[in-house]
Amino acid sequence: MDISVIGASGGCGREVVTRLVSGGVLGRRELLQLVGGNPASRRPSYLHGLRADLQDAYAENIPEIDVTDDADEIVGDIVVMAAGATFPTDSAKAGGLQSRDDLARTNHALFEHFAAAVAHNRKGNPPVVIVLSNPVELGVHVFCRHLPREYVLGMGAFSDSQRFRWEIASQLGVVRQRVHASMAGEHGLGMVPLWSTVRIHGLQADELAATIARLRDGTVSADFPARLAAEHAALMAQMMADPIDGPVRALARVARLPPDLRVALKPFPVHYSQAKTISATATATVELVTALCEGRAVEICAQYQHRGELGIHGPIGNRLILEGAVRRVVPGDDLADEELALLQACGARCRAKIREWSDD
Amino acid sequence: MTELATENSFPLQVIAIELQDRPGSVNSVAEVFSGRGLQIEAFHGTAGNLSPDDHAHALIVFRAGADRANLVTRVLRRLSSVRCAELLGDDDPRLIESVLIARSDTRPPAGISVCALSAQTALAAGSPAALHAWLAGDAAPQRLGALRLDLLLGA
Repeated sequence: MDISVIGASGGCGREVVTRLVSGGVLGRRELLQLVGGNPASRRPSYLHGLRADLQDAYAENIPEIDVTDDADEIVGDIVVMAAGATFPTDSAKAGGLQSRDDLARTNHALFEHFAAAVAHNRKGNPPVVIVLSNPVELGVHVFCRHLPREYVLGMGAFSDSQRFRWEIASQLGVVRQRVHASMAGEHGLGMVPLWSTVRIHGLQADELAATIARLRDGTVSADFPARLAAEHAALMAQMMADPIDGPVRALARVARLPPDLRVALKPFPVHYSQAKTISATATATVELVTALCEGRAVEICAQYQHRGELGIHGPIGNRLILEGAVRRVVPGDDLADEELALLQACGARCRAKIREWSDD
Repeated sequence: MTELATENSFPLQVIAIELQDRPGSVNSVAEVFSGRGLQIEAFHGTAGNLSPDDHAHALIVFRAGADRANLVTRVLRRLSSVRCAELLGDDDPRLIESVLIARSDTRPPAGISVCALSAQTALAAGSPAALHAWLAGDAAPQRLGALRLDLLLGA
């Protein structure tokens, strides 16, 4: 497999590239392509320097590394879309740019540019595109206008599900590997925790039900969007009031919430601490890329362009069977009615936003 | 060898590449084909000191559909060991194919030139299409060697 990383000079793109090389995901004769996401970059030599640095660091087992700024030269069998604007990390400015709408207006043209180029050059043999850039739902939507939808995935729900597993595991004092759980819906404030999918290795049905009830602390799925909105508003107010120590206090505040709210809210103080969520996103991305490279059939949770599956329309996160490309959406017969209703409402909301962002 | 690799219903494709003249260049090129299950049917390569322009060249003949042939060409262009790569049509006038044959008094068809090398052998050369047609016809000469493809440089 050859892999192209668009936006390889950004924080997340660089981390993905470094982990792909250090983890030996690609063989010596496979191609790792570093694609500049910004033709007007003030650092045009950056990717050439990064390539040389990686070669020095990992010379024993390094793939062929190519550098280009030309979207028409993208040749990867897997294309990681990591280019585009992101929120500033200064919490004092968070009030002016906390909406994904702001990102959408900025990144729409970039999605369109790269999607058109990739599709034009790979008509009969489309690559799998993994969208990291936000809003991830818009990225998935735009790429699906140019490529078959089975070849386009959004990372948001994949990394949110990893976080959900960790929040449950850490509260129970077990390792994440023992926990299975999916966080679906829209990445950010529209995510939908699928508590019905939670499984904890070693727990029988009655033990599992009691454990989940304890973790949820009396909360119900239908109330999740309202609780999330209220907690988010309080969290942002806390951080904006104290740009220096606000993120640390916000992390402490988030730690007292149930696991599903922690998943949705913790990335905000992490981002505004200036550490950003790079490591978690890159690790999840490399995990997904590795599964694709190995050709394994796996169940994942990722953004996908729904066309009526489970009554959902729109590019939201859901459980998928991946086997080289998306084979199908996992049937929702194990989901609670209110979870399904939240997913359907999320799909409708996403479609409305995308119409607003892209005039579709 | 995979079924995909031996599938011969796909058209013959020819890629001309200019290589960095260093160890490993041909290996990296070959991996692009083998990694995609494509069998190279012919590989004609020379180091720079054997070429008139001092650059290492290779002509690669394989079977594939147009989409895959285009993709392989684009991937080859991105390799550090490849200076340039061009997918050629089989009717490209720069392509010359040749073969050693048994010398005879039979006149070759139009478009084929025959040059005597010894009392028993001659070299026949022409466009790939014309040479293939002659070799497949009733008046085919006795072949004494493998087909050899070449590209006119600077033509």
